[in-house]
Amino acid sequence: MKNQVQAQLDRETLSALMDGHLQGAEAGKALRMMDSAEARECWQVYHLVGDVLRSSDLAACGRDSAFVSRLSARLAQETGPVAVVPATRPRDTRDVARPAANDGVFRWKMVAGLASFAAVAAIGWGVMGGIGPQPGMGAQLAQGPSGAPTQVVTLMAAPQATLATASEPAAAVMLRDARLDELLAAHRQTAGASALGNAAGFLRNATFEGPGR
Amino acid sequence: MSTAVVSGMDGRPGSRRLGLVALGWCVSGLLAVAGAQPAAQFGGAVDRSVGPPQRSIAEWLVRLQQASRVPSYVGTFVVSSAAGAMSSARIWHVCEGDVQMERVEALTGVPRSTFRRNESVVTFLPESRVVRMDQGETGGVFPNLLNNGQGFKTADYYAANEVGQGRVAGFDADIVVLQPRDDWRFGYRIWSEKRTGLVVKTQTLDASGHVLEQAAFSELQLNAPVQADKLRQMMGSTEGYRVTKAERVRTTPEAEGWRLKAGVPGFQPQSCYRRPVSPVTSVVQWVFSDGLATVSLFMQPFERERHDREGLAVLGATHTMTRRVADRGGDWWVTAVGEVPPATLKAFLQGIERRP
Repeated sequence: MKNQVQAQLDRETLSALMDGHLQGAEAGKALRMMDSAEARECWQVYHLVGDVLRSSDLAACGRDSAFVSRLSARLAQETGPVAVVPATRPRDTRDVARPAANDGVFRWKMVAGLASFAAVAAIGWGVMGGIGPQPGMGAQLAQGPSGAPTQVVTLMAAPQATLATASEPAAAVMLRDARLDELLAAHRQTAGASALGNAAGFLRNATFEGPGR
Repeated sequence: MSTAVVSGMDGRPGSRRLGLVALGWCVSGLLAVAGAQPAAQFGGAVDRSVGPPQRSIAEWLVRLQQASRVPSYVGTFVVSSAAGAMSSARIWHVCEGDVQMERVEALTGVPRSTFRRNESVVTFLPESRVVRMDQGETGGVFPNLLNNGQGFKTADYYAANEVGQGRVAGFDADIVVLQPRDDWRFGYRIWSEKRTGLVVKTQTLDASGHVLEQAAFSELQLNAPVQADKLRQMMGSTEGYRVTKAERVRTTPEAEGWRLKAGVPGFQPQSCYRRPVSPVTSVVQWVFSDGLATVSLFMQPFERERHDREGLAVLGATHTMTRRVADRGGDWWVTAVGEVPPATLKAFLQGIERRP
């Protein structure tokens, strides 16, 4: 009776553990639970189910548990230099858990980070000719770095546009300010629903928060 | 990360199977064309010997919108702008009946996860331990689809041209260009997955055909196991977070004292909200749409020390333009934001005025 209740609990916690939904003490408890052979078998089966759902080619993996028990047995036998084992083992497990792909992701993030920075530098302000009542006010045009995209500049090709050299050069390139960000965010919330169906617009907006956010 | 690797690997057999399906479909299409020769000769469809007849703009709009009903998928979504900014996110999507759910885990920039359940959006910012909640008001799953039949005449302002086939994230896709019929809006080049219609890639194009911004799946797994329950549970677990709610109140431009003396062709007023920006001030947002592109007008009282620069800002396809509007009772600061050419924002800013 008690066993059954226990087993019931096991499966749910185990499933949550698998999905990475447990944190802190809950995760610790779940991991301790994994000591039982039954829990490990369940773990195995759940993963197999997941694999098969993703691809039927993965169904033919029946030797996993044998491999794991052989590995544990061998590990238990290891009596080698104590100092070496802890030094190498964590490293090995990490390598196994995180293949080289991880490396790529990190580099990707670096590149994306740089790109975001470049974009921040490229966002500038200019004056559209004829707009607004005071032409003298804020007649500043972003002068991005030489490699910066020319979007802003081409728009400035309007005849009346005055390429005022900024009185304060530091302010010429304006980083996005928080107030404009708020408006952009508000716009995105409402715009998400209309561009090319709900999903596409939402995905674009949720992904493209823009640099600096 | 390991999930991305795994799904990337096992995505391949799936796409191969899909490729076979597509091949079978093409062959059957070929047979159909052979059987209906007079139809094929009609209109001199020289460069389109294989495949179905061109869909009209209306058919495309419906197809693209219905595609968000795909039961489920998992993928990596990348958005990049002409200026070089690039963002990516891991996406989980599931649609059960009338309920659409999504989880978007940002892979670039500030860590954040965004969940959507139909119109409700919850954004978790784990670094600042803040959750932003926004309860949308547009009911139903496809409000836009209905709008297209009624308020919007999207089909009057864009033309659809099928320009060929391509492959995105391992899936064969039809490429269609939604070409604006005037200069008030941008064009879109869209890759739509052949079988489901799912939008797998989009490009926003300016008048000269330059790509301003593009978004695409770099990797996609259709019909992946995604559990709506799990997403709902994750969306609701705000423990340990400070919850902030988007306090926007529905209002009308009339009540706020605004009107548009001259609109922009095709753009219909959609909704109007008032939202607080600080404890003392609030901003009125008036939203316009032509069915594809959206423009927001933000009106707030002018403050000399904060509102010092009129002008234009660009972020991907999103343009922002600001103008000070004079009024006897105190000036106003109006900001137009939209995925439209600057000229359109300018027209909006010149058209907006205080009601006498």
